[in-house]
Amino acid sequence: MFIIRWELSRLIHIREFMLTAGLLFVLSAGTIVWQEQGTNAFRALFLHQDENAYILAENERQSEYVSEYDRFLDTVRQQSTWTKDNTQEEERKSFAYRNAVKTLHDYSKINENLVSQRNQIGWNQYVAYDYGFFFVLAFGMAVTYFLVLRERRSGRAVLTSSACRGRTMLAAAQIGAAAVFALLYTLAEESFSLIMYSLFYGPLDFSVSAQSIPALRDFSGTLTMGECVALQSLVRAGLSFVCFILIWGICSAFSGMWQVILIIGAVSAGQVYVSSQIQLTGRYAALRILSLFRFWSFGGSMGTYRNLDIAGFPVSKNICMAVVWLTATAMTGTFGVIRSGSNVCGRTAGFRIGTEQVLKKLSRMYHTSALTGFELAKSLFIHRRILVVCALAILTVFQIREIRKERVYPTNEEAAYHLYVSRMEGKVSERTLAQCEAARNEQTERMNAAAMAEDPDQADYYMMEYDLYERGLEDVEAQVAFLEERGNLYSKYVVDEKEYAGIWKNPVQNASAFLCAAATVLLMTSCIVSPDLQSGMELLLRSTRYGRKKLRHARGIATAILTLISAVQYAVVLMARYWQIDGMTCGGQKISDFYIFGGSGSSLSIVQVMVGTIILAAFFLYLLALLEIWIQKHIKSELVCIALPLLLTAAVLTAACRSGFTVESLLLGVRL
Amino acid sequence: MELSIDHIRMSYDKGKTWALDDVCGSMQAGVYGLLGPNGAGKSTLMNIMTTNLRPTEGKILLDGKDIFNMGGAYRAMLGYAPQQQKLYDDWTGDQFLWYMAALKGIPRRLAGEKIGQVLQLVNLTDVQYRKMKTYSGGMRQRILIAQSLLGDPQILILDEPTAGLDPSERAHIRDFIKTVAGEKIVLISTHVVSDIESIANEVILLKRGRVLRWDTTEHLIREIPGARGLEDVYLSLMGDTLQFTRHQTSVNGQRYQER
Repeated sequence: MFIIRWELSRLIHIREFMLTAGLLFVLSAGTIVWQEQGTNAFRALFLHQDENAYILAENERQSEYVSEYDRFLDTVRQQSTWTKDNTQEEERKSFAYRNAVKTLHDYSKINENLVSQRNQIGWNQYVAYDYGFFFVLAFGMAVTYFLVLRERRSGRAVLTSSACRGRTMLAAAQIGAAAVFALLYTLAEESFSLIMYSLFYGPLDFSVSAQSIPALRDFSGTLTMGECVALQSLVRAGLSFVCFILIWGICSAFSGMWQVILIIGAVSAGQVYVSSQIQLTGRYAALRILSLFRFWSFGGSMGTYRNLDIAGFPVSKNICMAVVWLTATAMTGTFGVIRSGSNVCGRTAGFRIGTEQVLKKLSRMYHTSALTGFELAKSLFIHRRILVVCALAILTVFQIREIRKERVYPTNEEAAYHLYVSRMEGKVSERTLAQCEAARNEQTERMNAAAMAEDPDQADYYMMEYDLYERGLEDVEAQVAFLEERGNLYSKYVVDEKEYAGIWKNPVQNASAFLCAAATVLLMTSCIVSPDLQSGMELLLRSTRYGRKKLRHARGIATAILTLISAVQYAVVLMARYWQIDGMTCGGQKISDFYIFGGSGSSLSIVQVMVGTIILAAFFLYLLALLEIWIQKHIKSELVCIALPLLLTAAVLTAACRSGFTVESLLLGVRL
Repeated sequence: MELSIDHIRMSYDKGKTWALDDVCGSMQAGVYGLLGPNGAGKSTLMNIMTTNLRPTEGKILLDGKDIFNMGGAYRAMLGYAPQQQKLYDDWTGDQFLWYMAALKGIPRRLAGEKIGQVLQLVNLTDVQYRKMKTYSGGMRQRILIAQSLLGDPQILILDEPTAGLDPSERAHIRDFIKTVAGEKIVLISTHVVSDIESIANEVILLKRGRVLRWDTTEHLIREIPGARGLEDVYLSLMGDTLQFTRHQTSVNGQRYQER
């Protein structure tokens, strides 16, 4: 206990650790805002912009869900009963029979009157948020770095391991400290999330049953949401502890921080992939079910009812999860403790690319007199920023996949509008006008059919169809009429204006994207000067012939190249968003020809706005990088050099968003 | 070639205290030992001589020209080996020397040959393709000395070149410095007297920013009564009379008498 107290105290007194913990907390909060701000729920309840009657639609959905719930329960019970009753005597020891019995028993406790009629938008949104898992992983890495790796790198581990309690006892104390931090951080994060969701969507009703939330329909318990949240928070704290111990165990085996990050990154990516890609009914379903990431999510842990076949007996997946991961934790923890008890210095690293022949060949790439190349090589390979580049590439792939997913429109009007625009989009021609006329004729036919129908139900059906399409068609007709008014009709385009507005009129999303790019740039360039200043190498470099002005120029160019990498990622994602709308076939449309802007707006075209946004973003990112380099010369700490400009950027972006001023509004020439 | 130190004064706190106080002297080709306890101002003087620090007052002239005005031209003649420190551990010795060659402006077509020569001089050819994190303390020191020799500098400044080395490696470094000194001005900063006793032409004794003595080893030894070597001179001039006396009595084999 005594040593645990010291380990805890030591960590709390490390400024960089507390700064990292604070930063992760802030980022976690920022991620919640980022995830929520684009949702209809947020717009309707927090911003009070319920343009698409979202709340009404949600009420209807909840009503429908409540009315369907007893049917769901009946189906589950009936299926289980049927299986049970139709199983032959000799097969009553099979998994299928036992599973049916267990399912019937588990669901017999549930009363269909449990579910609440009131819609639970806040809870729906809360339950859907899963990203806390990644912040816990990051925090676990921070804890392990300061507890273990930094001590080893500084040589202090050699000192402590020479004490009588400096090995096994110290390792056990570190596990204890990790457990405490896991619990504290997770509970803090969960509490903060609850506060944020209450702030966005109104006070959350903790007394409502878990099954009132559609995402938890399959839950087989009789707990309230308050009890579920408490339980899930404890589960998450336990998962955090599991993650921390696994990371700590990996650190015992590998000496390099970046090796540990790579392994953990690969395992985490694997967990996310497994939890989203593997089929629930396939051969490898157990892998998905037992994924840590899946268990972290509400939907994965409480929202899915599944029993695994363990020697013919149905065992709840949650129990299997707990056993598997606790066993893994115990094994890793034991391994780590045993390893700590052995020779501290005699470790062999995992991934050391060792042979001199390979290094000799690699060394030849450095046979140059170009200083810029050396500065880039230092950043990418010595300071491991190549990993950031790889992570950016993977992130870009994921982002583009998200963008290319099929769009689901929240209202019929929007869906109809997009349907008509997709038929007519492109340069205006006779065909476009003919299509418009044809669509109007279709509507007229529907109206006539409704009027002439003898059966009232059929008349209602035709009117409903008419209403489904009418608003959307009106919007498109208004657009075409506007283009005609502007003159020179056949040089203009029918454009999906609402999709473009979705990009431009979302300053929070655009600001978040820029902030992420800024964070990446600052991370990439934080190693240009700071490490040399901290290690004292800067004095040596400055004493050489080219160690001043030329080195400064070389570093400036290296900074520009590193900024460009991040700017390219930003640009690729932005271009993908534009491309997704209409493949840039309408890129020549001028902003002043947009109906939604009423004829105001700049004479730039869509393509020019896109390119202008990218260029301006790249320019501001480079300025930010230069600011960071300047700060590095005065403050040696890398973390502070990243945090200061980042906070400044966040403050400026927040102020800009509040005032409605953004890069897009500047280029569009309209106030958004 | 003459390097003149002309009334150098350095203060970090606007004149409240002086890290260097009126340091004067001149250096021609030869080996100079800069001796002094911790905080004497050795590193400050070296940082000024490498133009990493501007003195509060005074100047350093190379053949009559202020080194701070000479800029890159002066640094092109300079070779500096700082005290052993964190190197670029993930680079090989070869990569590190190519980087330093680029910083020293050595053209690519000549760099390979020069690097090969300095590696041979410091006896690191066999390990040039190993990562520097695998180097021992002596090897790290030697690679730092190797990079300081790149470009055939006329002025060599070595800060504690034997720090942390075992006796045989220290002897090797001392002999090595003697070999390469030639027509160069070599300034070695240390607080280990034996490192420079046999190789330095002149010794500069610094204490609390002031030059106590700047003279040849022989003159200094003759100046101090009872001094048998440079260590005695050092102890006496640093005011460590007790140690000096102990040293004397142990050397003379007489019983220790407290003064």
